[in-house]
Amino acid sequence: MSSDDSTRPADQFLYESLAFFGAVTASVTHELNNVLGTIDQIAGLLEDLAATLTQREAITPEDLDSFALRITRQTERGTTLVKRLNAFAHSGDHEVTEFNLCDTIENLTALMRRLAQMQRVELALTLPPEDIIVKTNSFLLLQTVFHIIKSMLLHTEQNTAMTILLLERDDQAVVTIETQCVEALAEITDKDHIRLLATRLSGKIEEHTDAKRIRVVFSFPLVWS
Amino acid sequence: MADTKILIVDDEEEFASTLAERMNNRGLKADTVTSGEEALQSIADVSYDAIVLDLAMPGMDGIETLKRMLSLRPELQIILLTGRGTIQKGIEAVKSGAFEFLEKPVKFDTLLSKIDEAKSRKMTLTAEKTNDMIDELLKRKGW
Repeated sequence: MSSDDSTRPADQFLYESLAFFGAVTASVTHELNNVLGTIDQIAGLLEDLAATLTQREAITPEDLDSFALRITRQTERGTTLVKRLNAFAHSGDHEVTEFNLCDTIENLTALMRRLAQMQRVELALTLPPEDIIVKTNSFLLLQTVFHIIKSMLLHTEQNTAMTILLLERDDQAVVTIETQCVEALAEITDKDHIRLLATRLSGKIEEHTDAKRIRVVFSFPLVWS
Repeated sequence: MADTKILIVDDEEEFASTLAERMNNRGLKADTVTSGEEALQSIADVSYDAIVLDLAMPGMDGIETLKRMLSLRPELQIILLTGRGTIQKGIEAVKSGAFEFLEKPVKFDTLLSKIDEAKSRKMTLTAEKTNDMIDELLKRKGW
């Protein structure tokens, strides 16, 4: 094996990690851009009205309430996106950390909402009644679930919902993702990469296909060893 | 600019409606739709002076919508709105027949000025088309 060959897997992993961060942040920052663009237009509208106050009826308190509400709504939307993006950015801080899987996957699915909507697919997350506390590599975990959802989106029929179900079973955390495919007996793409990521977490991937439905089950130990 | 008919196509509903409100306050007549499919229906009913079209939309994206609209109404003047990461797509859109592409968030006055240019271009194209039709008619009838 040449020195180039020996460095390739690490380089490839680094590249794939960066690509994963890029894919998530590109989608979310696009949505943030829309938030800022909308606030900018509302501010412009207020400016327009202020400039023409002498020529038209006075702005009513109801008008002002409506503008304030519209700005507040967009600001709250932007703040939530930034909080989610910030939590995501910190996922690579520690190799192993203890966290609530439900919060982490909820955050990821929220960040992937726009990616799914572009394919006209809704992400429907079902959380268990109790939190699932895991001690593992959150960055690898997010990357694995992201790639499963992204590869399944390629096959999913428009105007349907992809379901994501979390549960805890026998010292394992289980993430089950199911979708309605456009074609029968579809297989997820990028399978080798997803399996490699799961293996790094001492986890495994099972894929079940039934006519036009595809279900991927990703299970991994609650405590990474 | 008065009576200029604009169609805003953007899945970001509040952005589209606020933009339309500002345009209407300036005397333009702006309609909004939130998908490419709706845009195709709208251009069948109304002759717009300019279309303001978002590139990144669910389902039928901006480029696809642009191509389909131009195949139905080649005289349409379409201004595409793009995000920073999609400027390459904006260039592709101009090659596909878009009048102009502007980066989001767009300055309102810049957009109005482009709409004005688009309307003039449409009027020129329509006048040329009418002249061609008259010439053709005169030739055929031998007047």
